[in-house]
Amino acid sequence: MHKRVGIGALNKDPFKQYEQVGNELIEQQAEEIASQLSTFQEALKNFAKEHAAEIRNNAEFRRTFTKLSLKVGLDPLVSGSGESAWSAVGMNEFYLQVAVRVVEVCHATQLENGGLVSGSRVCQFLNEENEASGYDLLTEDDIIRAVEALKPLGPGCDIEEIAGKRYIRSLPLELSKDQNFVLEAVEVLGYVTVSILKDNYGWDHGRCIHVLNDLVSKSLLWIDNQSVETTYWGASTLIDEKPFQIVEY
Amino acid sequence: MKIPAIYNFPPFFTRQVNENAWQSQKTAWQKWILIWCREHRITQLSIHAELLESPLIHNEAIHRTLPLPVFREIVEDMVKQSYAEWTQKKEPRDTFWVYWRSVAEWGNIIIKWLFETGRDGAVCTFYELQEQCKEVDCLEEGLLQKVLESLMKKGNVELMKGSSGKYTGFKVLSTS
Repeated sequence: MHKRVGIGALNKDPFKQYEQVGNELIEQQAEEIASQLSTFQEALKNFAKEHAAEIRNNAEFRRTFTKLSLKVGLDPLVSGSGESAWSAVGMNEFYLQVAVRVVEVCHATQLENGGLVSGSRVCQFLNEENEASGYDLLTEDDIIRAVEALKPLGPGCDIEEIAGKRYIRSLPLELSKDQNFVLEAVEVLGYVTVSILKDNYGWDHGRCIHVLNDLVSKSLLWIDNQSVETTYWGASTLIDEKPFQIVEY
Repeated sequence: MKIPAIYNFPPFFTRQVNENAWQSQKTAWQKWILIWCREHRITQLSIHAELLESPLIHNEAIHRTLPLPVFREIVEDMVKQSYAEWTQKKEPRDTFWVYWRSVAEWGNIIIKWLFETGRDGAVCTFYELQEQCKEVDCLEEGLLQKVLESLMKKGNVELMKGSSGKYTGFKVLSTS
């Protein structure tokens, strides 16, 4: 029997052989990409080490660094599994520190806001402290990421989105559909009234009152009776300032 | 003076029915009252219709006023926590001292001034004290006397009566 050469040799099982070549190519490319990625990741890690302080202190820089890291598969919040670029920056620590402050504020203010605080308000509040201490300012994104950094440590605060804005929830809240609708309306105006609910959702008086009372009993809404109609205001911006300090003379 | 954000939150001026909310509302009011009185150096207030026009409980910008009965509830709580004291023990109790500084602290300020001005052993009238020690010129008469009585108990001063039969001055016994 003579050996087949050339195209003839390939004809034996064309599809299988094409597949084989195809797979080899993909494998090769994947290897290349993986190696490039790994090189890039290493470079990013080194960059992080060198610029650790700046990443911690500069919100804009940090935001860009975060985006870049995520693009090359370095999740800042992954703990364990080897050294991440972020541990080089001390980033987990940074977010955990912010998280501790956020949790403190949330827990301290549960009475007045029912355990639901607006992310932007928390950010504003912490920045008032930061400004006073000469630290750089945080962004709302920092606050959200900080809360998410706590997840691996167990149940605690959660991020809740209402009408496109982000809130931090520190108490378990099982909200009914109606309650959610009301909170969404509150997010838009800051308050609702029975009339507003009737006009926008077509609910009858009883249904409005029922939902509103529920939310009031959870401290999610506060009542204002000095307007034309009883007005219910969202409590998510209520974060008390520091306790009154009687200065010792 | 940094005005607390809650001062511009309309429900702040409505007595909340939710008990948790009311507790934190009361606390916020107490802080506001203390801060405001400290800023304006007010040491005595009366629960009176006049107050309804004061920025203390009337926020013109948002057209909200804290009702006087609610204000009274808050003051009663402040008294319980020693942040305030009724000037009269018997009813009707409308007037109260506001302790953005405690009686003890006021006493310390006076002692310090007496020491710094070398008044050990000297005699001083209430009038003189308030004229020359600007730090205490905001003390209402009754509160000033109360502070000096506390210093008398500690042995720092000896109160002296004037011709009216009321205390009008004191002798400095010790400034330590």
